[in-house]
Amino acid sequence: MFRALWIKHWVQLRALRWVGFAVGIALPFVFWAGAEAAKRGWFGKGRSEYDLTSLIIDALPMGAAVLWGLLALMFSAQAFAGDRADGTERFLLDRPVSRRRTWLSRVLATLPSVLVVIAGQALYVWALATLVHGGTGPSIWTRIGTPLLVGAGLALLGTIGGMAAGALMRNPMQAALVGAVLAALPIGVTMFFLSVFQLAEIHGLHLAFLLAPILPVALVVASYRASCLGEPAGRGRIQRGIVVLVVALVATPALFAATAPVVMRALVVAGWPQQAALEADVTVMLGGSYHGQSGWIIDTSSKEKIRFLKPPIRSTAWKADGSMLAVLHQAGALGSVREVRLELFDRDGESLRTFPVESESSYARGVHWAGELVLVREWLRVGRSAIRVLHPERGELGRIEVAGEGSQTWKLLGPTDDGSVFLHRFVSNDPRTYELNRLDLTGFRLEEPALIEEGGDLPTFAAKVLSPSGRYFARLAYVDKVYSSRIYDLQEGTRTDYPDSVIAGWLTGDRLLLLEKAGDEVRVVLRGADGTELLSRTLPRGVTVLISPDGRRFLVAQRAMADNRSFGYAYFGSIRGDDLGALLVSDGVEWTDLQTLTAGLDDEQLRIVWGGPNTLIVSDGAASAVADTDSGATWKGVLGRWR
Amino acid sequence: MSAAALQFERVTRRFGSKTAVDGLDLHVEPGSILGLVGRNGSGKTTSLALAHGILHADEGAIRVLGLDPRTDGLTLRTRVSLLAEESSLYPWMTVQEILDFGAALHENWDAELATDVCDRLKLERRQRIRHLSRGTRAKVSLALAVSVRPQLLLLDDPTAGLDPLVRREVLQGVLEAVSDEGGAVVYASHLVHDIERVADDVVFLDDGKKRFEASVEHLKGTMRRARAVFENGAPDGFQLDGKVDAQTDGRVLTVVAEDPAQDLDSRLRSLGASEVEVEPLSLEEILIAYLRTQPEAEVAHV
Repeated sequence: MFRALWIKHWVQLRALRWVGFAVGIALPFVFWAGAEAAKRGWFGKGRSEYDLTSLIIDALPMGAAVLWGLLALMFSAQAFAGDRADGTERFLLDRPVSRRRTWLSRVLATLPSVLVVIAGQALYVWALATLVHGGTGPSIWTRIGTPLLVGAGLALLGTIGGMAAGALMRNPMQAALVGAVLAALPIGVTMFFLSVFQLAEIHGLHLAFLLAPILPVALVVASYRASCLGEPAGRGRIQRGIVVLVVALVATPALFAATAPVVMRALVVAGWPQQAALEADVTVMLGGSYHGQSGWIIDTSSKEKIRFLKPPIRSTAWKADGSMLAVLHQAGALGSVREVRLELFDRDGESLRTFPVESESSYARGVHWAGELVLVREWLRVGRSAIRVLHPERGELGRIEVAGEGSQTWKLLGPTDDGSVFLHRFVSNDPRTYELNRLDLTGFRLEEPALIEEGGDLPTFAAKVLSPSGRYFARLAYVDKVYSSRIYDLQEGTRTDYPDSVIAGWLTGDRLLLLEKAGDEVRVVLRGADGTELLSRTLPRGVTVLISPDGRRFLVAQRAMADNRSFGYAYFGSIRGDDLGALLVSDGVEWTDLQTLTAGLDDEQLRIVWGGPNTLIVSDGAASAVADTDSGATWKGVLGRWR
Repeated sequence: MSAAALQFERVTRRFGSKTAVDGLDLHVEPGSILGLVGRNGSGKTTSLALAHGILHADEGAIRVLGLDPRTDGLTLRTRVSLLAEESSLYPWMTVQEILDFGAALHENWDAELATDVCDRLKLERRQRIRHLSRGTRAKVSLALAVSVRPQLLLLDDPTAGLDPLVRREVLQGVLEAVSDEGGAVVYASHLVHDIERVADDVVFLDDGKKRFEASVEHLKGTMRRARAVFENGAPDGFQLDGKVDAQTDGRVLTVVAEDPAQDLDSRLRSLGASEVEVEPLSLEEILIAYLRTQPEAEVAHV
């Protein structure tokens, strides 16, 4: 029985198949004639030259792609509405033929018909491309293959749209038109989500693509329900189909709205570099996609998530005491992007105030705290830069304008113990020159003269290059073909070089942590303000150092593949078991074996960062956990499914 | 006891605000032919579609050969054929192709019977359906309908618009198919003459309701029309057993009445008629007599 049904539907589509072949064959000639007419100025808008090769290789596949979508619509509209329009629908209804079989035989007659036509035309396009190009290489395959693949997708959507419309409408022409609208629905909805909710993505895949199949599936279900269920004569047919479509149209945005926040939250578990408060047990975990980071405020003492920070986040900064978090972001609802704002949160995650910080002529780059004030680094698009000074309650106080190419080469340092903030910036390329100036936050200017004005490279990758008191500044210098750590005494105006060493950073009491080369090994050296060695430990090369936010502790880790520079974070991925030569040094200059903290963590992808003055955060890419350095190796998961 | 071929109990079907079938009761015994008579739009086609499971009833119960058309539609359609007024044949197929297609769709297809019916109806098998006359298409539909040896054949005005010769051929085909197999037929038509020729019972539908139900044989055997002449004028308010309709025209009284004892002549003469002429009626005339006198709300059972 099924074979007979299939043959009947296949034969009924015969005429359309020939039409499809004929149009496909005529298409290049239509394109050629159009291009020739344009060349001769027949279209009244001047003459335009054309290249036959690109016409065949670039334009023809795109034309074929559109044609396939339209042909597929016509095939399925004819298959599903043709009998109704011809008055022959009752023939099958009056016989002991399951409507499901009829429906399936229509589907299985339509799809091969579409396939046969598009396969034939694809071969035809390929043959023409070979002919005009003199052979087909990989680049030609890409040029003709990509639009043809798009065409195959359009053909599939067209088939599905025509199936749904054909089950609802009374004649194939109406069905083709309505089917075009229905087939466009999944594309339209996906494009809408992609354009409006740009950041609702997971691992680089936008949520819209995950939800995109809902509508095509709904169209198939609508076609089935309209054709196969209920009264054979068709009462309620349209209603049954429309209900499915309406449910899908409501469910798609509802699912999007329900899952987008979950998806965006899930991305944070990777535990990208965090922003910890200097003196409080709160931190921000950031994660997300290339297009925009999102984050969580974490209470590292209770190990609880406090608040989710929606993407895209440009910059975050805790006030030193951890009472307030400044977030520079553009977050809108469900991954949408709005204007740039500076939003202040208290440590419980409550939003306190929002400031608009960007205009048409400025671009906000980062946020920084200076005592009670919030500083926003701006790039003014007229070739100048600025630091906007804001007070959490009084709003904007002023702006420090700075000449220069932009704030990308700036580094705001501090605040020091007395609340001072410094700007270290590139000022000239010839000769290459950097300056270090203190900010005058009441006069809204840079204090002159510059504390340092000297050529050379930027001051290492280390985070803490200004001593806590603000008296010393450390930078990397290339002296006599050797990298040296150069320490400036800003009070005395003197400088000291430590050859063959890199700066790890400053600890409390203006103690300097250096990594010095010692043959094939590395000496981790802690020096007092007067340069005396307080502590040293020689380790194999490949050491990473991480200083706690309050500058009282530091983490030393061995890293097999690394050189002897320090990095902004420690990465333990290649170190495991007994090779883990990592140590924790307390304020009392005491070595502690870090293995007691990392016991039981066997994942090779572990990454450890500071999450507070005495808190470590460890992430394995899928989850993050927090441990108190004073209470041993009890890790508690805060994000993802921690083991 | 075998199930009724067709049983409707207070069946109602609406199309929007219009009630096409309104509380209809029908009963068809196996082996019998029911004529369903009514004007266009009276509910005949809807009733057959309900019986075939193509439409579903809004109210009431339908059993066809013991099956519920709503839930057992597929099984039912293996045992019931419907021959509709409008041909739903595929115009691009030949007669042979559509017979083959019909055979492939039906497990009860009898190829021998199909050949026999086609030969008797003189169908040219290589012709395309689109090239056939309306009468020949009706014959093809008949061949498709009877070749599955249905236990119930539903005929929806299959001879409407056909010339008398073809109508006779088609009807002959129906009668033979039914009589051979002992199946039942429901024959819906507004052509009362055709019904009269083949039906055992007749039901008249009007505006979706049953207005009249009777055995054709009984009607034709007992109903008579008498023309009586009274010298002093026709009497007013006279009593006559079995009277269905009476009309007075001066001295002439025309009466339609049941006459099972064939004594209508003497009964009218006892009322004072000087001349009486009694004659049988056609089914159409009987229906008209009944419908003229029956109030709409009542159903006449004879």
